[in-house]
Parts: sequence; C-alpha cells; structure tokens
Amino acid sequence: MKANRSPVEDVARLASVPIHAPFNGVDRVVRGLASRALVWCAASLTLVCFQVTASASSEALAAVSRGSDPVRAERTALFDLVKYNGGFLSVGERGVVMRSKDGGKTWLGIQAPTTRTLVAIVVVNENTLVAVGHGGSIVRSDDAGQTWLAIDVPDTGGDSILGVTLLKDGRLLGFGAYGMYLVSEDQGKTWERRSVINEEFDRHISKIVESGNSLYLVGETGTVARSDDGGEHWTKLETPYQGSYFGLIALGDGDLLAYGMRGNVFRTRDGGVSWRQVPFDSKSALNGGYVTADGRVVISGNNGLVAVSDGGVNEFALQYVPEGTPVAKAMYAEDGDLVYVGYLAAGRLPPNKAPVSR
Amino acid sequence: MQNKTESQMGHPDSSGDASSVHGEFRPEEFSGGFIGTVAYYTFHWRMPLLVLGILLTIFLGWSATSLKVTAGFSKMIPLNHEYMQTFTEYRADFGGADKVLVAIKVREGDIYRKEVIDIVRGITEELFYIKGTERSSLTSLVTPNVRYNEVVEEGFKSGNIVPADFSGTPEELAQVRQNLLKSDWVGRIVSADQTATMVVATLQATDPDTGGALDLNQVGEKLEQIRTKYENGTVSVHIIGFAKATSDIAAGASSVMLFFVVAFFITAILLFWYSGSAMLTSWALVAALIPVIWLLGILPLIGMGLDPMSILVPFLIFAIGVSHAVQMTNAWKLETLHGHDGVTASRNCFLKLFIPGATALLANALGFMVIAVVDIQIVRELAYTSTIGVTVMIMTNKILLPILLSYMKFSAKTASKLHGHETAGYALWEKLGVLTTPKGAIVPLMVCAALVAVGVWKIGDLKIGDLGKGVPELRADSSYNQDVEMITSNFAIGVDLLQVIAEAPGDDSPCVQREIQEKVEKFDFEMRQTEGVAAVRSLSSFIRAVTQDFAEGWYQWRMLPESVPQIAQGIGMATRLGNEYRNSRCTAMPVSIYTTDHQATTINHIVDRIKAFKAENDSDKLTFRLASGNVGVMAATNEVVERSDKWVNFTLFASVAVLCLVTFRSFRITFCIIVPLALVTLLCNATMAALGIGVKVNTLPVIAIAVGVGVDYGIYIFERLRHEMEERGRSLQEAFVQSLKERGTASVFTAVTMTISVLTWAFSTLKFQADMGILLAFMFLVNLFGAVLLMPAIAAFVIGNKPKAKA
Repeated sequence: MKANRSPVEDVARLASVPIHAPFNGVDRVVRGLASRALVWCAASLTLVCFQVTASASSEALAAVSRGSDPVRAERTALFDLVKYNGGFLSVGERGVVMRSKDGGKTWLGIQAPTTRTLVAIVVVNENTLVAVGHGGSIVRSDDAGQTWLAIDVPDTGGDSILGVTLLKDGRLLGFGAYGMYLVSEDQGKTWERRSVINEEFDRHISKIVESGNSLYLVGETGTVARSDDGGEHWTKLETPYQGSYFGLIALGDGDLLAYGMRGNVFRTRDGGVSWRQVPFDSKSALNGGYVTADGRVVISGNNGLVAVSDGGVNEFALQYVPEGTPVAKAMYAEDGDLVYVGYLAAGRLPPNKAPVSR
Repeated sequence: MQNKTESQMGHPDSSGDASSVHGEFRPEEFSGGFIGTVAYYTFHWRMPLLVLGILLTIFLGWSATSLKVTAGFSKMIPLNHEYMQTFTEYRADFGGADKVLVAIKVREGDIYRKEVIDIVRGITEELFYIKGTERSSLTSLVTPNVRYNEVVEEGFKSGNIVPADFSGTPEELAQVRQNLLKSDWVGRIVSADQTATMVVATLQATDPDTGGALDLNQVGEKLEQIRTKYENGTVSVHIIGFAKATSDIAAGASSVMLFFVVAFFITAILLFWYSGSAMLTSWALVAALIPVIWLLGILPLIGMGLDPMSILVPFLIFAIGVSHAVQMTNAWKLETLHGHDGVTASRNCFLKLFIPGATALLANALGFMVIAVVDIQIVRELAYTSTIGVTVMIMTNKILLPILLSYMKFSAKTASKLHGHETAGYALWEKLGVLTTPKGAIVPLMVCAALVAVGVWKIGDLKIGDLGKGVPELRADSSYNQDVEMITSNFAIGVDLLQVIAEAPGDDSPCVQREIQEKVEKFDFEMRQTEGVAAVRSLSSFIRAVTQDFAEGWYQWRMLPESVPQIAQGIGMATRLGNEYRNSRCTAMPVSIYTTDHQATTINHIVDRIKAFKAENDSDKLTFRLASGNVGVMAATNEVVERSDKWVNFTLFASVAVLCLVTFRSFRITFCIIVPLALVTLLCNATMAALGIGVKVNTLPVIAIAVGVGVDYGIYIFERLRHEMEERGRSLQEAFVQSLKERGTASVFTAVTMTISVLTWAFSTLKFQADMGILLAFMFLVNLFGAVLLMPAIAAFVIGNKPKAKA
C-alpha cells in the first residue's frame, strides 16, 4: 500500500499540516499516549455533552425565573387616585399602594400591612399619608409612603371604610358602611367612632366633602346631609333621587355635584336645598370624580367610562378606556393626558379625544 | 401493494427449479457454530420457509386492511405525571380542555344584523346535534345561559341577551346591543369591537351511544361542514378546539401516504441506477415492503392503531428495509460477479451478513425500544410499533431475502453486463485509507474537535417544548392556526389555559370560609402579576364582582366580603355558571390562568411561581394543585420530556455500547463506533437549537431512531474490518479500504436513499413531521460522514495499524 503516499500528502497539503520526518519516528510513542488520552478525552467529552444537553435548558429557564415579578398597576384592582409631589398615588386590593413619579406612565407598588382592599388615600402633609379600606382597615405612612403601619381602629366591627377626607382644620374624617363615621385629630394615628345624623342612621356613607364652612355627606338610598358645625350635628337634606349616591364634588363656586348609580348626576347651587339633574348620556355606575383648577369635572364609571365636563359643568363628553372595566378615577396629568386607574386598568388617555360612542 | 408482493413472491415458487436445488445442502458446507447451523437450517428448509413467509405476508396484508388511524387526547399526555393526576381527577368536574369554539366574523360592519343572529342561531343548533356535545355547555348569543344582569334602583334586572321572541327588527337589534353592554360577555362571546361573535361548546370524553372514546375526527368533519354551510359573503367562520385540531392533524397525517409513494419511486429509481438490474431492484423493494406489511398486519392483531406520530414508522421501516436489502443484494451481486451461482452467492451472503445485519437491526430495535422510557402513551406506541417493525425485519430481510435470492439465477456474464454502480467510489475508498494512519487522522480529528466546540456552544440555546404559536403540530400558516390567531386577537380569551385546582378538604362547603377565599384571592393576584400571564379567572374574583353588583354596582365594593353569608351569596351566583368556578361540594376551585403563549420559557416561569406560592401557602386547609388545561398538559409534558431526554440518551448509548461489546468483544471497536454517534447526537441538538426546534415529544425519538440507524454503518464496516484484520492478517489501512469496498458503497447509497426518503416529510402539512424529517435526514447523512471519515481516524489511534489476534 505504498501507493497511499500520495493521498497522504494530498490530504496533508490540503489541511496545511507539514509532514516532518521525526513524526514517523515517534509514531509508536505518540500512538500509545494518544490512544489513551483520546479515549479519556472523548469519554469525558461525551459525558460533558450529555450534561450540557440536559442542564442547558433548565439553567437558562432558572435564570429567567429568579427574583419576583413586580406588581403592575394594569394588573391590579386600584380604587383611588390622588396627586402627590408632582406625581400620583393609588391604592388597591390586598393593601397595594402604588406610586407614579412620571405622571402615570410607570408605577411602583408597595405592600401595606393589610390583606384587605384599600379604597381611598389622602395626603395629610408632605410625608404623611393615610389610606383606608374594607375590613375596617386603616394604614398610615410617615415617610412618604416607603413604610406603612396598620392602625388599630376601634368599633368598626370589620365593616368597610369607604373613604377619608382631610378637613381644613387638620382633622381627618373616615366614613363607610352602615353609617360608619370616624374622626382623627392626630393625623390618623388614633381614631374615634361617632354617630352621624342620629343613632338609628345605618346607611352607607359614600363621601364627605367640605365646602365653605359646611360639611356635606352623601350615601346609600338618596342620603344627603349637611353639617354646619364641623361634623358635630348633621341635618338630612331632601333630594329628587332615591337611588344611591357614590360621590360628591365641591365645585369652586360653592356649588356641589352629587353622582351615583346609573349615570345620575345632580347639582345644587344653594347648599343642598334644591337639586337639578345634569344631563349625562350613560347608565353606568359613576365611581369617582374631581374638579380641575379650571372648573371642569372629570367623573369615571363602570364599563370603562371617563366623562369630562365643560368649564360650566353643563354637559359631559364621554370616552372609554380600552380595558372596558370599571374606572375608579381619572385625573389630568401635567402634560394634559388623563391618567386613570380602575379594575385591572391603568393608563393614560390622550387629551381632547373625540367622544367614542358605545 | 399486497397483490404485487404476492405475485412477485409467487414467481420463483412457480418457476419449477425449487425442487432441483432442494436437498443439495449438506451441513458440512456450512461453517460450524451458531450461524452455520442457522444458515444450514434456513437453506435446508428454504422451500417451507418461503411458503410460510408468503402465507404470513398474505395473512398480515389482509389483517392490515383493518388498521385504523387513531388519535386520542389521553394518548398525548403523560398520565402518570403529578399534574396529569390532578387533571384526571378533576376532569369530570371541570371538563377537559375539550372545547369547541366557532367564531363568526362579519366581513363588514358589526354583528347587529338579523342575518348574523340567524347564522349564530343556526350554528348553535348544529352544534347542539353534534354527537358528543355537552348540551348544557352550549354558549352563544342565543342560548339561555347568556344573560345580562343590570343593577337598577329597585334591585336587579336581568334577561336573555337575545330575547326569545327575537324577530330581527331594528329596535330588537338595538336592544341586543344594549343588553350586551350591560353584561360581562363582551370580549368573551362577542369581540370587543363587536364584529365577531362565538358559539362555544364542551365535548364529552365518551361517545354517548357506544360509551367508547368520542371519535374526534368525526366531530372535526362535522365542524368543517358547518363552516362550509355558513361561510358566505357576509361572514367568515373560524373553528378551533381540540377536536378540530385533532381531525386537521389526522388529515395531515394521511397525506403521509403521498410521501410514501414519492419516496418509494425515488428509492426505486436510485436502486435501479445503483444495481443496474430490475430484478435486484424489485427484490430489494419487495424485501423492504414485506416488513412494512407484516408490521401493519400485526398492529390490528395486538389491538393497536397508527396515530399521526407513529404513522411515520412504516415509512422508516421501509427506508431501513431498503438499507439492509441493498447490503444483501449488493453482496449477492458481488458474489455472482465472482462466478458463484445464485444459491452459493445467497448462502455466502447469508453467512457474511447475518451477524452484522442482525446486530444492526437489534441496535435499531434497541434504539426504538429505549424511547419507551418516555412516559407518554403516544411515544410508547411509536417505540412499540418501530421495535416490532425492525424485529420482523430480521426475519424478512435476513432470512426471507437470501432465500428469495437463492432462487435467482444470474450468470457472471449477465452480471458483468449490468451497468450498476456498486463498485463506484473504489478510488475514493483507496484514498480514504489514509485516515487510518495517525497523520491522516489528524485532519478529521481536528474537524471533529471544532464541531464539538461549535456544538457545545450552540446547544446552550436548545429549548424544551414548543417555540411557536398556535397548535405546534400544525404549521403556523395552517388554516387552524390562522383561526387561532383570529380568535385570540378578537376575543379577550386565551386559548392557552393553565388551571390550578385550589383544594379545600372538608364536609360543609369549605369554600365559603374567608381564609380560604383570601388565599385564592392572593393566588389570583400573584398570578396576575406574573410575567407571561394574560388573565386569571377564579372564584374569589367572581365573588368580588358579585359583591360589587349587590352593592348597586359601585366599584368601591369590588372586594372579598368579611362574612360567610356574603361570600356564600357570591358562590351562589357562581353555581348558575355550572362548574366553572367550583365543584358541587365546593371543595375544589379551579383557578384559570390564561397565558400569553405556550413557549416553554413562559410556562416554566409561571410554574416556578406557582411552586414558590405553594411552598409558602399550601396548608392542611387549602392546597393548590398543578395542573389542568392545555398549558397544564404542556407543562407536564415538558417536564417529562426534559427528564426523559437524559434517560433516552443514556439508555440509548449504554444499550448500543453493550450490543457492540457483545458483538465485537472489544472495547476499542465499541469506542470507535460510539464516539462518532455521540458527536452526531451533539450536532443534532445544536442544529435543533439553530433551527428553533425545541426538544419535545415529537423530536425526542429522532435521536434514538437516528442513533439506532446510524450505528448500522459502523457495525457493517467494523464487522468486515475485524474479519479482514483477524482472518487475513491485513493492516488496519488495508482492512479499512477493503471493508469500504465491500460495504462502504452500499452504505453511502443507503444513507443517501434514506435521507431523501425522510426529507420528503419536510413537505408535510404537519409541522412535527417536517421537523422530524429534517432532523432525521440530517442525522442519517452526518452519521455516514461520521462512520466513513471520523471512525477510521479514531481507529488509527485506538486500534492501531497492526493486525491483531482475536481478543
């Protein structure tokens, strides 16, 4: 088989492996060593291959899985929206408190010490925040929302606290289910339950607002009341509507706007003595609202509803958030977009969007 | 096919020369030992054996006509996996994943038109009468379970979305629109933009008439008829669901027959080119077809059918059959070229090829058998089917074919006139001899090292599970997957569902306890935050929604109530929805997690989160059990596949190594055969990573099959090589060249033939067949390179160039 010389050289040349004479001399030694080395190398290589094959995928996946997924506003039931330090605060299910520093574009969540749903938050001062919710829950932060403390509230019986209002004199009012009426005179550290209207009153209180020197209260089954002595004594007022009110807004000029179930909006210009219905082209329940600095009212409702009024609050233009779920509240950000939160819904609506018919 | 085989096999029998050769065998003509004895008896009894073979073939061919293509949901799932036990346990309560969704999409405008509502009603009625429909589950705009619920000052107001006396007036259509907006069905059975609506039904697992498994193909056909009947200029109809997918897959699987025919003709042409003899070509084809007929005949006898996955097996058996038949006819022709008559040539072939052939086939069988370690019925059946196939091939190819050939006459003169290509490549083989010297071995070994490096680098990207969208068995652009795309983009429902069962043991409806619901709420919340989750539905979030409704619709009240009566009120409302949210004793609550897709990374992340949640929250009172839904099945399957992948490879290589050790009684030879196979396996995984093919039920068997088949080359070449070195005292180089001359050309030929055969699968409408075809073709071809180029290079170092005495 000497004829094989030339193919050897061919192959060697092809691979640019120079053939040295000494190579042939050490042939036997090389083979002896190489054969053993090769066996072990290849054997271990084979093993390595299998190990790699086997573990590659699981390791890659494990890397993705490390750390926990952050709370996302658009995946959380959120119930309130307030401005805070140029940004927004919101609260929601299972004690979630969310904060946005960029006008509602991104949110960061933190868990307050309750498993109950928080439905309202109030900014007491620069650093002090108080949030209330179901199951008689109140939580409080003294460090701008970084840490929260659960407050022990007497006499709630685990009933729902549906809202909290900061009065001009610095007192806090908490209110809610079955005539719940709580007062705090130390910025929410301690609370005292008091009766409201009369001992028998057991309707849900939806909202209390301060307007001029009076306090106004709305609630279940057409309940409206007024107090002229800072909440010591309340007088029931008559309204043309016997359904439930879910909210009350003090307009800048002393007028009040009450809203509630099935798209009902009423306005009073005389401190609650007479009420007139404001046209509203929707039958959705109206959940929350506020008045802007220039006098327009924004009211949000179920089915993704966000309604914005003209400056005189004579009519509302309706639009809908893409999620189509209940919207708790919508507010204007500094750039003019409407920031909204609601049931697994959070986002921004562009300004002056033409009303969408539904 | 059956008739052809019969008549061709009948030919030698009727030629009349059978009796003249019978009895001319004497035991002393055969070498001693086991093979000699087998050979003696084989040829001594060749006439009865041949008749027996023909009769068996006829019988099994008849039996094959009753073979059925079967597909069943439970075959595809790893029933013994922990998740699937949950799945099985609650299947009766919460239904399987076996839903049918028919979407009606209007081409222009919205659905509020009389003709559209009429179509919805028509399709609803059609579905009602499909055998196997769970009639109470039927859900559409016109069924009584689709209601709106409105909170008014006086309480609740509710009614059917489409009134029972609907006649199609504009007022009624406006009313339907209003009712829908009051309901929570928008996004579920009506698309958010109101241009599409759905009819949904759940299928029973069993046929109500026979009590056997429901014939999903039949349901699929009915659904297709509905599409044909109702699709028109106004609406398009889109149908998804397991039954539809199954029947589409079955339809795709039957197109395999076309590939079989194509492969058959390609093989025939190649064979004719190669051997130059029509006679040898037809015998090789016949010899390759007989095991296919036997296999297809045996399956109905042992109560098995073919499913879309194992339908490829007969194909593979044919290709392997051709490969072995070519070795045999090639050797037979070489013998006749040396001047032997048909009988002597046949006998010599038998003696030469029985050992390597039977060993190679046993290696095939082993390769197929190890796939059975995967605890999934459909994979097991593939393993059984293919093991049976190659086992009968030992009978048909190693015994029947030599007997057939022994009846052939083929004078040396005639043979030399044939222009075959059996001796093609002799010049190449001479040159390749250099690979067996240490110097010549360097290049292939370096290339090998480079390939290993590339392989190890690429294999990091290899993923477990499915990587695409839609139903992975079908191509992304198949009409089914397009329907999936249409329905998921129009409706706020996912088709990828992972169900976790929250189990609260106890006798008096433990689900009404707040601590139980609170945990479910927590789980719901955490799942919603998890990456890869699109939506979550659970009893606790349903209770929250009911609570809001009872509080006059004020969103502020969307919460889990404090007291048992209030929670019970929510659960009471849930009972109106059947068993969607809880079982009748209220001890089990399914939490439905819709995922954004079913890629393995997505599934694994979610499952990891669930496991972490379980670790922290499972207690005596409440445990969260994985998993049901199609994604639950996939999660379980992925886990089984991941676990089995190592086992299949380990068992495969261990058993092939043991087989080689037994055959050759040499560690060195075994090593030379195994290493190239390991390299090819590594490269195959790397190729999968590069092509974006994940390791899954369908690809898992590929490596086993390819290694089982690939080991043939090594066995055939080494059997000859050792013979040359030990019996004739040749050097490694001479022996290698001689082995290649005798077996190499046939090996190259068979590798090319098999590669082309399986490559035809790449055109299948079924994605997994295409994937398997591409991977198998790759493996078959690269295996050959490994055997011809790398094996001698390793042998150069491991065996050495000296003639060796028998170990």
